[in-house]
Amino acid sequence: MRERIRKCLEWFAIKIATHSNEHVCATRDVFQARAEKTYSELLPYFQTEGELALFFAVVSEIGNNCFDHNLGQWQDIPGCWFDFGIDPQGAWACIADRGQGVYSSLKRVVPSLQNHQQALEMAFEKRISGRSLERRGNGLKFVRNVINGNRARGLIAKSGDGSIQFGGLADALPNVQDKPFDLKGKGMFAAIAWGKTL
Amino acid sequence: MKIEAKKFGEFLTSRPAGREAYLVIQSYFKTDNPNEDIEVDFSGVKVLGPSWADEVIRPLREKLGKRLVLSHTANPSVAESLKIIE
Repeated sequence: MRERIRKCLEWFAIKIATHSNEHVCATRDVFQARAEKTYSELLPYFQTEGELALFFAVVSEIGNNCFDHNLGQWQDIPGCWFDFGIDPQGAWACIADRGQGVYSSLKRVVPSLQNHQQALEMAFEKRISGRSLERRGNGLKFVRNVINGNRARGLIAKSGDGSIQFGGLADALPNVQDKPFDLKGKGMFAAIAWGKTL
Repeated sequence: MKIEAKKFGEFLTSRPAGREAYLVIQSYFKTDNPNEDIEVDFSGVKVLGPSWADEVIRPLREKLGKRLVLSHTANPSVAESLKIIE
């Protein structure tokens, strides 16, 4: 898991990405198809289908956000990196994009925002969206509600020089403050761990 | 009137898919009886995400108020997604 998350972070952080690769879903349809395939592959490893449904909903929300907030704003390569797997501790997934990042997206609707850290915290904690003409902004709050306070679930996320983590299992994911995981990218990166489901 | 959510797919997660679904659902109301409840049945849905719910259930709730009835919501992704858009 750690090596695959590191590769995702490297792609997220590289100055200029010149080509795509097998993990990058260039369009929402590709992401959706891969995610649905993931569902059937992971089903045997989850104790209940309901638990898998929640994991899938979290992964889908974060993956779809890449497309909702970055159309026309990609740094270079469009789409999102999506990888997942099963470890002895449980299921994990990582998603990253090379879009505009949370700060840049939210700054348009909250001009008082001062940095990436504030933006990332606001994105997960308040009902707010960078797409100001539409009523939205529930998605990442959903992610937080489902994971926060649960010792068998965890999430880490980065955008710019901001980072956030919650859920008891976040500690099972690489510490994004430590080398070689301390890479910074302009877009958004998230990794999810879902344990004790095997 | 009963709307079977699974007819829009087993994985209801994205905003564009929700928007399309809501456009289709709106067409059902051409023959709407204002005294009748509208039931959205989630049986057979594997995953519901908050974005899809936000595009479909929120406007339906605004339009129908107490006439909107949501059934078979035990799937945790359905329950949590509906909770967040309340």
